[in-house]
Formats: sequence, structure tokens, C-alpha cells
Amino acid sequence: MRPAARALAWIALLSLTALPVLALAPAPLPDARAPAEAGASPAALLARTLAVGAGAAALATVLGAPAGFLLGRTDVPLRGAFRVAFAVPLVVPPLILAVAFEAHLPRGATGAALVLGLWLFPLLAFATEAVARRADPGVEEAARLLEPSRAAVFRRVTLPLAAPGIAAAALLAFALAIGDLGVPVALGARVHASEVFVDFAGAHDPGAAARRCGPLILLAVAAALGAHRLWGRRAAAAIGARGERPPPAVALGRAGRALGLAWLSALAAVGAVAPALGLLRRTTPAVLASSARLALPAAGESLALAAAGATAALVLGLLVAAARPVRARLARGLEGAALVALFALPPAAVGIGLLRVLALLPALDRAHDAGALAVAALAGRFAPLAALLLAALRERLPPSLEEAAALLGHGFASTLGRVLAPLLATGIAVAWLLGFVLALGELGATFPVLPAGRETLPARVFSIHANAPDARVAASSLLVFAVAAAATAALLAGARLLARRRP
Amino acid sequence: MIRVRGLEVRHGSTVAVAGVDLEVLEGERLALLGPSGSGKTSLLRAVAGLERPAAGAVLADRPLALVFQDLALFPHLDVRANVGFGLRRLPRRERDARVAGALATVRLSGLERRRPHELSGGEQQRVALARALAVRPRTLLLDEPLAALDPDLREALRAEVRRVHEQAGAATIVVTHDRDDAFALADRIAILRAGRLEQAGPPEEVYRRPATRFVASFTGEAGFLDAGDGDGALLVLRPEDVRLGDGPLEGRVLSCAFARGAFRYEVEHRGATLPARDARRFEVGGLVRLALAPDRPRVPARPS
Repeated sequence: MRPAARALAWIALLSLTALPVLALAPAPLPDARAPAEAGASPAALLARTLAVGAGAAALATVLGAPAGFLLGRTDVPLRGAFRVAFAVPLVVPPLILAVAFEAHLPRGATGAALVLGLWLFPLLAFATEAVARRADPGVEEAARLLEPSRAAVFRRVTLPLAAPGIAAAALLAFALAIGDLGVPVALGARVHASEVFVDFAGAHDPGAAARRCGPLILLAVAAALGAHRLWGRRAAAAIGARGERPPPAVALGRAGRALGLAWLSALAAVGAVAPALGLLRRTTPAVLASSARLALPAAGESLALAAAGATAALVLGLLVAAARPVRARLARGLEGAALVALFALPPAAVGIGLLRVLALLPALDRAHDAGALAVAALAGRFAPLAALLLAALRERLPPSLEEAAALLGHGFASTLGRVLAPLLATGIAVAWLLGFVLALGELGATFPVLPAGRETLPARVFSIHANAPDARVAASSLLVFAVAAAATAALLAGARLLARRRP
Repeated sequence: MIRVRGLEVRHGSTVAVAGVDLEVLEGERLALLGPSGSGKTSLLRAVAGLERPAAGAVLADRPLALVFQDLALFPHLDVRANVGFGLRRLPRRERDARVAGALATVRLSGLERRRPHELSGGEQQRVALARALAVRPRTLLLDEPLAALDPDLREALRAEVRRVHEQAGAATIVVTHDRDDAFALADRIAILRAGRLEQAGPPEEVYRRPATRFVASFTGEAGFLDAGDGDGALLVLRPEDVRLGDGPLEGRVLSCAFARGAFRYEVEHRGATLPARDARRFEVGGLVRLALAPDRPRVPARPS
């Protein structure tokens, strides 16, 4: 029964992710030698896209990796509070960060790389913390016996062991950065994602937009697969440390603690506090109140879409995770790589691809009008993430539990309902909340498929950014920021509450 | 009844089980004995249908129950729900009766509302046995059922496993790497090595008449003495075959340790190290008279 369930789950997932991307394929790739408008030749565009992605990933690494070591391996105070603060920039749509900082940053590719780096540094921080905490304490203890200098042990043992994990996170950051639509458009950076949007919405040429998506998809998928490979290598290196005692926190001393605290505080200030304060200064209470009134339908739309999208993503992700083979390592590795690649697909490519599917299947028109396509876009966008999270949690359960259920006469559905779902309840709730929070800020995938006359909060900011008065743009952005921050708080509080209830 | 014919199980390029033939009759207990990596768990999983054989055939009567090495108790369910997990198609009354009966057999009545983490290791083991028993299996498989228990509890649980088997009357395979468990639990012992079946037979036969040097070593203390007949055969000598203190032969005491009411010796004789037991103390390094029991089994000097 499991192979059938697995096939069905994957067909559903691929039809929301890979199928829309494949639907872009009939559009031929742009000819690199073709004359193009100034500054937008395919080669220049590719170079600028690479530069923005690499710049954002590098900045995120420089900011986030030290923060990850500080959070994961040292006795610096307030680590829990900093984790909460760092979650904020990650879940706030990067477009809002761009709006918040646009007055203080250069426009174009440099500004886009800086904002995207700021958006993604928590990803690097959390990934570095995870790999640092999984280090085998025995290896470091052995190194300390041979090398008395703590700095040398860090340089020669701790860092090299964590490096593949950090590199994996940086590659994923690169994939996410080049796929973002809001920041380059807001800051006038001409990169692939923004040109896709210009072709799609400005020139009303979905075919040209589809053509532009090709290199973007290839780059993002290649980076994601590299990330998966590096992360797997790190995970393999950590076998033996798994489930054993975590490595001890390094006592930094007074000066070190002060320095660490300053670093983390600066990041929290720039990532979580400064955007909100900057936006607040650019608006007035009256504009904020009227913007809130005007944005009310968009807020309702955002919440409803995010809830529906997160639910669909969760169901799909749970099915994929539950049907994943537990003991076949090769198949598991391939599925993991595919899930990471699907998550890294540029959101705009998924959204525009869905539109092309709609053009090929007019029967879906009514679904589009009802907003189902936007839900499908969110499900396709975040189901791979839910599947990865739940599959990782499922791998912590002994495979014998499911085998015992099978031998006692329970099929896939019954085992899922009576064994897996109760045991993964915490993970399921966290996966839904995470999907909900991320869906609230989603722009690239949903923007192309929103029914006429309906908009989400990020789509509203995106639409009014170029034309509305600055105070109104700032006020609308602040609302998005507040909703995202509140949802993050709910996510973290929910995760903590549920973690206490684990059997 | 369990019937295994020419079974081969592969894990990638590794052959875990290579061409094994086995038969376990209804009501019979077979112990699969072998070191780690010998393929015994793979064989058991193939019988349970959890491993797909690369070659050969497996027939096992249903219902089939498997007690996993890690017990595989559902942590979110209480004892009653765990034991009744395989009975969902039965009417409620019958299901409750079966659960109560199984729990009574393993002497766990009264603990129905407890969750697994609220039980001791021995009690958890009994819940796993009760869950297997509740489905009234015709094939009962036990994967290292006593491995995680301390020695005292182990002894008590051996009796429990025997009782469960007798109640079920099923064809039973017990996988173990512990020869004491194998001898205590089985009507017949099959010794596996590197995926191949070295010998199968009643406990006394595999102990008294081992077919290979490996079987002799794995089923108990053994010394090997050149048979001296020119065909390279070795005589297998158990501690009870070597009498110290008198006899026509002489050996040198290599080591001495006191265990279980007697001294255990290693004695060097004609270049071989022989095990021996005696209530008297002989000095290490000294010479001692010894006699060897006649008609000792022979095994080939080289493994086949």
C-alpha cells in the first residue's frame, strides 16, 4: 500500500511544483546573442543575478555564521531572546525590509544584495547553530588534549567540521535570494526575477517571462542540490554524536561575552527593530489608521489564503513524509534532494507556470477565480518544506513502530492516523504554523495567480510601492511587518507549548 | 509452520543471508544463534515479510507476530491499546477478553492504563510479548527478546518467553547472539555464520556434536586438539571432557579464574589450549596430570 500512497503523494506534489515549471518549457530560452535593451542582455542579467545571489549569501554568512556559533556553543546571555528576534527578519517578506531600508541603501543590485543578505542571515545563524550543536564533543575533547589553544581547536576542528553545513545553508540562501521578486523590483535591480516580473506584468508577455525563468530555475535547483549534498555530508560526519550528549557551551569570559552580546544585539537591532522603527518614522498615526482600514480586505485575504495554503501544504507534506521509505537509504536521499530542489524553485516561476497550466486547461478558470490557484501555489511552495521537516522528525522514530503496525494488520492510512500522526503531532503543528507564517509573506508565487480584484498584504505593498505616497507605503509595510511578527510570536509560543506536551 | 528454502537476502551488494534452508514445525522453538552481522535478523525479517528475498522462498503460517528487539511499543498508547493494536477488527468484547488474557499470561494485569514509559524494562518486554500473544499467532518471531535486560531479569523473562510460546503453540523463531538464551529457550538451534547456516539441531547435538570449529566455539567453551590421524581433523574438547589432577597425560596451567562455584582453567597440552573446570586449585604455570574423555567429536581444522 505504501508504494501507491507514495506515488499519489508525489504526483500531487509534482503537479503543484514541477508541472507548472515544466509548463514553462515550451517557451524557448532567450538567445544570448540576440540584441537586447540596455542593461538587460541575458548574459548581463545572468551576471547580475549571480552577483546579487552570491552577495546576499556572503553577507548572510558573514552576519549569521558567527551568530550561530554564539547561539549554539557559547554561554552568551539571552540566547533564547535572540533566537526569537532573528526569526523576525526571516518571516517578514523581504520586500518590507527593502521598503524599510530603501532610503539608506544604494539602489540597484548592491542594495538588493544587502537587503537579501539581511533577510537571510537568520537562516545561516540557525543552520550554523544546528551543525555546531551536533558536533561530536569527543572529537573536540580529543583535540583539546593535543592542542591547548581553544582558538586553534576552533579553527582546526570545530570550524572545518561545521563548514559543509554552513556552506549548504549559504547555497540555499543563494537559491532563495535569486528567486526573490519583491526586493529587486522595489530597489530597481535588474535581475532575472525582476525581469520575469517586468515581462509578465509590465509587458504582458507571459511567454517572455517564461523564457526568463529557465536560467533562474536551473541556477536555483543546482544550488539547492549542492546544498542538499553538503548537508548530507555533514549529517554523515555527525553520526555517532546523534542522540548523545550535546557539546558543552564554551565559556567566553567577560570580554568575550560582552563582544558576543554586542554582535547579537546589533544583528537583532538591524534585523528586527530598525525596519519597524524606520517604517514608523515615515508614517503618521492618521495614515496608519486609514491604511489599516484600507488594508483590511487584503489582511483578511492574506490570513485566509495563508491558512488554506498552509493546510494544503501540510497535508501534502505529511503524505510525502509518511510514505517515504524508512530503510532504503538511496531512495530516501533522492527524495530529500528532490524536496530541497522543489523548495528552492523560484516562486515567480511556480506562479507563472501555474498561469500557463491555466491557459492549457481552461477548465481551471473557475478554480482560479475562487482563489484555488493561489492556494495551490502556496501548497506547492511550502509542501516540500513541510515534507522535509516531518520526514526529519519521522526519521527519529524507530522504524520498528511502523513495521509493528504493518505486521499487526494496519495499512498506510491507519498507521498514519494511529501511529505517525499522534507521534508527530508537535511537528505537524509546527509545520502548519511555519507554512502559515511564510505564506503570509509570500509574494512571487501568489502574485501571478491571485484572482482579479483580490490582493494579499504583501501584494498590496508591492502594488502601491511605486505610486502611493511614502507615508502610506510605510504604513502598509508596517502592517505587514506587524502581522508577520505576531504570527512568528504565535509560531514560537505554539511550538514551545506543544513541545511540552510530547509523550 | 515456517518453511525457508534457498533464502538469499541482500542489502545493496552485501549478502546478508546466503542460501539458507530451514523448517520450523508447529509448536517448535528454533533459536537462530550467531554473532553480530551473521544475518540472523535479516533472516527473521524476511520470514516476517519485512525484507524482500533476493532469491528463494519463505512460507510462514499466519497470523504472524514479531517481538522487535527494541520492542516497538507505541509510546502514545497505554498498555491496553498497545496489546490490542492488532485486534481492531474484532468485536470490542472479544478484543477486551483477548487483551486481558494476554496480559494475564505475562502477569501484567492491573497495568492496563500505564504508558510504556511508566513501565520497567521487564514490564515493557512483557507488554511486547502480550501484544504478540494477543493475535494468537501461528508464527511467532522474537528478535533478541532478552538482549536489553540485566542477567537476573533475563532469567525470569526466559520462563515468560517459554510460557508465551507454549500458550501460543506457534512455530517460533528466537534470534539471539547469546548462547545461554538459545540453549534455555529452544528445542532446536540453528547456527548462522556470515549468512550461511553452519548447523541446525537439538541443543545437546550442536553442543556435543558440533559440525565445525566455529559451531564448537560459538556454542560453548572448547579446545581443539590435533586428532593425529593425518587428515587434519581436530578433536573438540569441552571443559567437562578434561579431567585434572590425575590421568595419563600432562599439561601446563595457563590461567585460572574462579566462577560459579569452581575454578576455570586453560591448560596447554600438545600445543593446544584446553578448557577445564575443577573445584581444586592448581597453580598457574605448574604442571598438572590430566585425562581426556574418549570419543570426542572431530571437526575439520580449516573452515569450509
